[in-house]
Amino acid sequence: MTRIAKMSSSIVLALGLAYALAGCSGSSSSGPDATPSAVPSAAMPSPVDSAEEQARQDVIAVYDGYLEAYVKASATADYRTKELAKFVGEPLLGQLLNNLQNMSRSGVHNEGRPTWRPTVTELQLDAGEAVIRDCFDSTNWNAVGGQAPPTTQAKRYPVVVKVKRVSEKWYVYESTAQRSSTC
Amino acid sequence: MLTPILRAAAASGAALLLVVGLAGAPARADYWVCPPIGDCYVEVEDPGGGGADSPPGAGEGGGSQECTSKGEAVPCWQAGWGHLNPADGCYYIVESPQPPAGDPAWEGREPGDGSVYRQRCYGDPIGDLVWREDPPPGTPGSLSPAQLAARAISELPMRGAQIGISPNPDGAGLVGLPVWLWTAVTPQTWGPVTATASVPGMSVTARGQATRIRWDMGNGQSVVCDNPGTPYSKAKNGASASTTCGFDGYALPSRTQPGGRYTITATTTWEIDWWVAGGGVTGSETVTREATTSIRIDELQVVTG
Repeated sequence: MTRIAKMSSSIVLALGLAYALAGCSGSSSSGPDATPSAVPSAAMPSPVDSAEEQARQDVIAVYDGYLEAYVKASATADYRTKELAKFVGEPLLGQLLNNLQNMSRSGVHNEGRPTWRPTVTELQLDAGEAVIRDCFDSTNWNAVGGQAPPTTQAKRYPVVVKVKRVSEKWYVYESTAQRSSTC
Repeated sequence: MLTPILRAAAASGAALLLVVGLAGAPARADYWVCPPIGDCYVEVEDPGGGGADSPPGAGEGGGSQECTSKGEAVPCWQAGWGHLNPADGCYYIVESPQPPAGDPAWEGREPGDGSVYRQRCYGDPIGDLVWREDPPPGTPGSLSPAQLAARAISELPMRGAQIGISPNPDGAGLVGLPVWLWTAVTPQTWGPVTATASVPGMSVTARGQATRIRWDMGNGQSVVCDNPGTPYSKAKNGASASTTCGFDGYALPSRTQPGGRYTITATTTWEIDWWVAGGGVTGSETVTREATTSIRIDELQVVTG
């Protein structure tokens, strides 16, 4: 627990600043990244731009696919879903499925629908790594059932997501919800 | 303390808060957990921890298994984590997606040679990558390549020798005269034979080839031939000895043997190679098959006298 808590807080600290720079209003539209330090190697316009643009679209598409699949699975706490594995890689995949099983056992499911506005803030085409920053809004997406007492909890918060490319396909593999921040 | 943390960390993987029982002290602890995305909620501790959940495809009753990790009762299977390996108390699940060729997780092997698993121990929601040739212990119904090979090998039509011998068992031979030994050569007696066994995602082919026959002559002597021998032909061979597989001749007649005959046992050695289709895993083993016959050997003076 200590290890996880420490890791999370350091990510929060590190990314809080970056997030402030990146802003929360981004969309998946085109254009060079606003964060000056985010793309260390591809600052000059070149023929790789179209490949890069394609990769950005692919990365966003896989993030959309992941959230759509998770919203659907969590509506019934369906921990046997095969859909997530199309978009999500380990270790996030196991965490999501394990959480769905916990929800099922606890009699909890999600109702409604969240919204999200992701931006690719880092893209390393050669390494096959990307980072998405999102302003995730779960105002209309709620955990219901179980023993959950109605509590005030963060509904709109930054999320930092890591995406990797494996065998020409992108997978979301890490997600950190910064529930103590807002956007 | 370990278990609660394990469970809570399992659910979260990211931020988590531990809620101490606010209203009284319930027998089992419930935890406030926050998933990677979405609302936090109160997780109900699984009573007994044994887990009534079973993996997809598992038969009924699979969930009644009891597993322990460091002395604590834990589910034998958890969604997203896979099966508990009783050998090390860690959960194993096939890494998804499998790392590409050349990834260090393959430890120099080609993808398809075994699998890369994610090993999660004691509530670590991240885990480590480990390569394993076979599914780890605890995986129900898991067939290793070697087990599948055993299935293929059992389907190989390998038999003992179809014995040919001269003197002919219907007649009698004489002491001191050469004995010819051979087997009729068919795929079943000398090979090669092949068989393939498959399960979804894996196919193993086994190939069997006889390499030698040991002929125990029934008098304590034996002959080993690395060939099937040559059939005897009276017209061609007369009283000569076999050039490929023969016995020099009995020193004593067979009348003191049980039934008045020497029992001859031919033990065929089959060398089997097997390999996983499209993968690097191979193996080999050796089996033997026996066949018997008997011959009568008379003293020379019976004929000449």
